[in-house]
Amino acid sequence: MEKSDIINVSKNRGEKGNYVKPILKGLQFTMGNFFKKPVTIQYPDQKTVRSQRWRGLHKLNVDEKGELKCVACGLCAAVCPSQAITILAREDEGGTRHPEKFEVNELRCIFCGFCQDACPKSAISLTKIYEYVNYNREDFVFDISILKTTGEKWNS
Amino acid sequence: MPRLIIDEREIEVPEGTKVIDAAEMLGIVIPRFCYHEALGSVGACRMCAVKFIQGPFKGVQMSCMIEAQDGMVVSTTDQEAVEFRKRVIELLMKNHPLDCPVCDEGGQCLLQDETISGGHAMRRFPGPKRTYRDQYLGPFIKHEMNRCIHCYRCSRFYQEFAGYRDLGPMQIGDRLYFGRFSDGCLESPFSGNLVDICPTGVYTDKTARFKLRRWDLQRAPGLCNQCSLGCNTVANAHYRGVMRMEARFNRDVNGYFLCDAGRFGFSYANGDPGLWRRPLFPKIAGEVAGAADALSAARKALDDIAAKNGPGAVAVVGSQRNSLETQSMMNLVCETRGWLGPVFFFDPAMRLKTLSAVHELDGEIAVSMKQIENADFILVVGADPLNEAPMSAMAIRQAARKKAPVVTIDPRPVSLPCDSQHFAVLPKDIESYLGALILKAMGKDAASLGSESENFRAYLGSQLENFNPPESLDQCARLLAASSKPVIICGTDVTMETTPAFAADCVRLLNLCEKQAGLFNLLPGAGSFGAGLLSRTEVPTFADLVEYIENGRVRGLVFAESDPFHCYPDRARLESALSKLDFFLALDYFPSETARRASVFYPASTIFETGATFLNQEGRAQFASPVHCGGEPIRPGEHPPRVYSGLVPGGDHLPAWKALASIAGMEETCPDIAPEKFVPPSIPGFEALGYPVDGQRPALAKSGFKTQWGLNTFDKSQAPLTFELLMVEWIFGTSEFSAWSDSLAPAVLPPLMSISAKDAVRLGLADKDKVSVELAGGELEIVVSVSDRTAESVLIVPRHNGLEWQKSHDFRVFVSSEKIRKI
Repeated sequence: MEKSDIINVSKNRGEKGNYVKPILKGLQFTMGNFFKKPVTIQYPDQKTVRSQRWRGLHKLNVDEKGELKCVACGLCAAVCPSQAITILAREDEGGTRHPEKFEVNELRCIFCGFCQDACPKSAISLTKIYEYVNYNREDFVFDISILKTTGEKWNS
Repeated sequence: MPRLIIDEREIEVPEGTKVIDAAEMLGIVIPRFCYHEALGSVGACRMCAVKFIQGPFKGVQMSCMIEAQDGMVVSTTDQEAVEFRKRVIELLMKNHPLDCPVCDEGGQCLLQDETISGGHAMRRFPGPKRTYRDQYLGPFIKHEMNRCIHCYRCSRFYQEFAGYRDLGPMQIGDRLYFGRFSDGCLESPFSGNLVDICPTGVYTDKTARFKLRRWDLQRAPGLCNQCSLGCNTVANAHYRGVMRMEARFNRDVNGYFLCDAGRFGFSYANGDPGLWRRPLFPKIAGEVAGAADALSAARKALDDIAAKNGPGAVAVVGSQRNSLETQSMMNLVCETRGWLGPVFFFDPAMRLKTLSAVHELDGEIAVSMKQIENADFILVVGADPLNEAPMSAMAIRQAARKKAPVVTIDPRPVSLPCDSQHFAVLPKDIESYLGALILKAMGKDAASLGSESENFRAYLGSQLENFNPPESLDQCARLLAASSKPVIICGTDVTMETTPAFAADCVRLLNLCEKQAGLFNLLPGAGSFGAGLLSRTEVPTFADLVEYIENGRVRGLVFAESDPFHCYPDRARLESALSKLDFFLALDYFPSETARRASVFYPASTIFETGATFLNQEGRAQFASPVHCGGEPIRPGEHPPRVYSGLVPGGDHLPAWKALASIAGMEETCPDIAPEKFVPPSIPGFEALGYPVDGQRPALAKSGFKTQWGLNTFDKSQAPLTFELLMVEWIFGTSEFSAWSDSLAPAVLPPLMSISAKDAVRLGLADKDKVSVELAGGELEIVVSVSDRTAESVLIVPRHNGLEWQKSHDFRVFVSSEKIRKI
């Protein structure tokens, strides 16, 4: 900021007739921007670009067969600082381990991203979705069906 | 005592200590896989390498294979040793799958710890990992052979330590496989220890499979209350359910291990309303009621009965499941209120046996399980260790491994996981055999042993005058005479009333012959020792109480953790007696028949929810810490409620003593009543120990020789072809814990009646024949198992939960041969 940009009001307070110059200066700034392209983004019609590292809603990833990659190891739940994740495992027919229940309480979540760092199977990741609203607090407890389709639900 | 220096710290250790143990005494834990204190060292894993700098050994050596010697200087952190261990880990990880996230061992895995602490992270070997086919190993153990690192701990435990042959190593080199010859249940009742002993996840707990992660568990030092041994456990709880049990090391009691009944028999404590039925809500006349209402209704009803018919019309009944706190409170309540009781025993003979077992055991002759392991002669009289108290069979095996002869005298076909000489004799002849054995072992030159022993000898001599023992008994007597630390293990289940006291005197007699003999009793339940200490002779048994109810003397009953429908042999009589009562209250954690019929039911807490003290069969007081608060467990698929409230659904349960105090109005007379106020005064020798006690034995009074023995020698009164029906315990399927623990159900075998081969010929029966035995209460249908090791003239029937043995109508039953019919 240039020194001339500073309008020192207090110094000139009470001096008669000295307000004209500052007003003109202000108007000059306004008029100078009036014909420029606006910087305001018309949210929600218009969205900003999220950075590559943005951490938004959780998503449970699926493998090429469309099955959950998650093996319910519980590392994300263990590392979660706000204890937002609840997992219960089950054994499927082949003896492999899958989540019976996978819940993320998005209201407790602080979006630190530790869960995706801890995941050994890249099964949970944070999307860039930052806008999610519901009428009830309970609806923010996302279960497997929501987490599997996080992108579809909240982007549409 | 060699002195050596480990990591620049000096330590003096006993002769024969391995360097790995010497380091542990200094608090330095050298990584290991194959070494285990109980199993010894084999040097298979090469993980415990350390650098020997000075002394008789030089260079990198295995610390588990080298005994500490004077002048050794050892470095565990030497670069060469660290590098060596790092390479070992890398090689082990060559084949180990990276399935830690799905492995139940994850979080408590030795291999996981060592890999991370060794710094191995990147795999250099590009080739494939070797894989195996897993086996089905029964309902308790899950096999995942790919994870094996070939440390041999499992086969060393299973075959050498526990004495079973059906699991072991097969093939060689990279194909080395630990398993069974083919799929099938593991035969050993100690198979659960494979879970604890495996350093990785080859054997995992099937009952807890995928239910939990180690770091989520609430853990507390607990006790096993399934039999009288009082083995130490770690209870693991999660989401208000007990998930798993592990063995807790106690050198004097169970060592490192635990039997399967204790390890997997915990699920009675979990009441999943959808699947099965731990009663967690108070009930008045079968209807769910509030906690305060149920307590006050019970108090009012009992007060009314006491006011109308006198305090003696109310009786308090306990069982062998009661903790010392509950027993002491029952005692206090009966003393202050004048109620009848506490009644701990159902069978009058069992009361006599337990009382004499408890009172005849003094500090000089009592031995712990650790001392059994070091005995050089073991005599098992009237006991079936593997079925009554499995861990004691393990202790006997350890003694047998050290070449101690084992002799069993019992009507049952007692099998032990070691070689033993078995004498199949009738219960009434057990004392004769024992007496003859002791008398022969003492020899003729023991005249100067004091008058008491002279009396005893003279008595034995006169009683055994016409007794012609088999040849093999002489041989056993010679072995006993040569021993210096013999142990007599005496049971209480099938023996005669006098046998426990007789066995104690035999031990004293052996001690006079300059031996260090010991006595180890097996009692019917976890609370038996306490019940024996607190029982008063004027108090009736439950069998007497039934008569009192029938003649109207007793009008109200309190059952504290007691289920007569399980223990009393005459179901019809019990039903009619209970229906005659004005009121009866049940305090229990089992959904028993008694609880269902009770006028008022109040849920009692289990050992997992409130701390409890138990005196084990050698009189050792041990405290089990509570592990969780209890209440309705959260079923799979449920999150704990997100409502913040102090009330737990199904959390009304109280320890039986607390509910009892409230019902008896003790809270008004002595407010804030706590176990430390009423437990120590009730038990002799407890004041000095304080409360809670852990691991100590209260000073038991010295009892000395008895003067009267009732030796039941050559009682010929039993008519030929009359059989005594002996009710016995099995490891799985006979106890109440087994009845209500789903986790044990797959291991329960169908009931079998054991008879001797000679009797089978006389009755025209063959093995696996189905017979019908006509009893007072109806016909008992059961499959026959013919054994050479069963005594003649007995029918051995388990108190199986799937068998209506309550048709027997009496505690001691004789059956004539025409009442046994093949069907």
